Amino acid sequence: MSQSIQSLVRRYHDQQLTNEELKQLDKLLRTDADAREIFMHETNLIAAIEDIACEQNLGPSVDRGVYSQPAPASGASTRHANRWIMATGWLVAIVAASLLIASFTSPIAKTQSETIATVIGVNGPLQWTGNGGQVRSDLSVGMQLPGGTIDGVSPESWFSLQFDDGSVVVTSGNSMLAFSDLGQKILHLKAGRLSADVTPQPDGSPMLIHTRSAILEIVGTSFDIDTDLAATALNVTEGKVRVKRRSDGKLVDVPAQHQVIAAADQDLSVSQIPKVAHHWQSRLQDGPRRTHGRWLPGTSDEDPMLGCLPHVTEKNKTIYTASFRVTVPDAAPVMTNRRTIINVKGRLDRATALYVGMTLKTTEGDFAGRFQVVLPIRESQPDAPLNHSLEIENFTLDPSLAAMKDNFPSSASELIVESIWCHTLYQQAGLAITSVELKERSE
Amino acid sequence: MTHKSSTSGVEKDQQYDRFMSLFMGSERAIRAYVRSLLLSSQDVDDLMQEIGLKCWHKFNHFDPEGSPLDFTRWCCVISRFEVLRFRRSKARDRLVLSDEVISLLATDAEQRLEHSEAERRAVRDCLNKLTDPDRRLLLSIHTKGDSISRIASESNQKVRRLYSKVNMIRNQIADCVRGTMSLGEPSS
Repeated sequence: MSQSIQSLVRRYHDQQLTNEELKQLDKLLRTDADAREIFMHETNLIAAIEDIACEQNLGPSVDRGVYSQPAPASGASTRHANRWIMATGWLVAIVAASLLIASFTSPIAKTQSETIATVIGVNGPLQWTGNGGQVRSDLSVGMQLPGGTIDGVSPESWFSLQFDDGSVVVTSGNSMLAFSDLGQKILHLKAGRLSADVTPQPDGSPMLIHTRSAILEIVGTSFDIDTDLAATALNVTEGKVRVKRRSDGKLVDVPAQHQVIAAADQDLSVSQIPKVAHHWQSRLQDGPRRTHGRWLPGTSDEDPMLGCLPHVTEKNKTIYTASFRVTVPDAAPVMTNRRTIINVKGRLDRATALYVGMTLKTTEGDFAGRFQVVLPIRESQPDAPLNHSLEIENFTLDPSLAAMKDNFPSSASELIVESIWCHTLYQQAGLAITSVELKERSE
Repeated sequence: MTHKSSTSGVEKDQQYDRFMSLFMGSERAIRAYVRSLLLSSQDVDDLMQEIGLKCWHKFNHFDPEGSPLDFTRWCCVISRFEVLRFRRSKARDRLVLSDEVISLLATDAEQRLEHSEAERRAVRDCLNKLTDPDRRLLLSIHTKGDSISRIASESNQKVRRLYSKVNMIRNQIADCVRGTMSLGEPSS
């Protein structure tokens, strides 16, 4: 019985029913609540698939593989693909109209939504998208924001935001964070790293952080998160965080000094934060995962390499960078000490100054600055293999953070390494890295 | 329920912000609700803008203390009448269900809003479990509104076979969704 209803419903949605069949379906739906439930279930399934197909259409084009087909010729199909744009477009129009009306009707009318948080730290290229599609890349300390999305568009990006109740969230590196507070703080971390120090939240309204693979419920605590497409890693420093895995809805509570990785293909088990490591090595032979750059596979003559990608700074300059994420969710945090050395190998096509740096955080998860070494032009030889061994004491705070130097440790030692990056500043000099290693020199 | 006959510019501004925030959060649920009452997604496209504007014009009747779910339900009630009006204008040239059935479906759909939302989340999870070619086949059909026969000719396969395959994939998804729902609702 249910199969025949299901078949009728599908044929109805495929617009293949005959008149007789339509009458039959109509009668069934009028008289049988179970038939209506099957109808709802089937229709909802189709609606969800249509939505996903539509989202895919709005994203980058994909190889359509076995069932490839040309782009649609009809306007109707294009309209279908653009329905989300259309659906929200009228809202934007209403806002524009409302602001115009408000400016005429009230001399003290606000020109933007109520602010909920203040920028307390900003560095590197960032972009904020606010209500109504307002986009700004000139963020500065003290600026008040009404919610929106912050994009960290380079490995050097760093952003710190304080909500009106004193809770602080920090993103670093390539990241995307949407935030709102309509009585409950709701954050969506689409990608990247976030650390937070959250003041006690109102009863029944915990801060919620959504990632692709988990939902975190925070009442008041300190923690940091690292998320990518497949997994979310959470390290809790103080307090407790409740984690719900999206794939199956399973819940776990993560206490202080513990961690969990929420991924569909791993146990959702809570473990103690592992002891730190003092050695790390890039693994470009395994692919480009956890790197930022143009990855080139190895050949019979050459090792795999990571070339630089350009990004535009807040001062409208283009920097060519390659970077590696060092402290990763499924391994012990990598920590520097006074014996740490960084070995960098690769090549440069043209002689230029080479910048090698680390983005660091404290053991509590706070951003601890970027420290770098600048190798002057005389130390580079075009077309010759590049091979440098850099000692930790030679790393100094990135000058672009000089205004905030009092907030950061004075040396790069005894800190957790989030990432290691190399760039040639504004010169496209053909820098490509074949390996980076962090290790301790022998006494 | 309140009805403000006149509001200051600032209040109006706040009202716009609140409406936008609520509507954008509810849009998918409202769309899915409307989709359950209309024959094609193109009809939904045609109607969603009307529904949005209608909800906005009536927004000062919405309880200011109402939750996002209350707002979704409120919009669905408005949508129901918009759907019936829309259908009447289209009924002459289509094979459509009767108004009585649509009203019954609308009532059911309003009662299962949260369940429907959970089902849609489960569909997303279940789609990710398909093989790439199967996923592409299913999405291609819905994305472009293309016919199965067109896809069949492009991939040198028989229409009937491809239609069976799509049906099989739909069954697979439906089973997976039922399995997920029986384990408890998927996360939001």
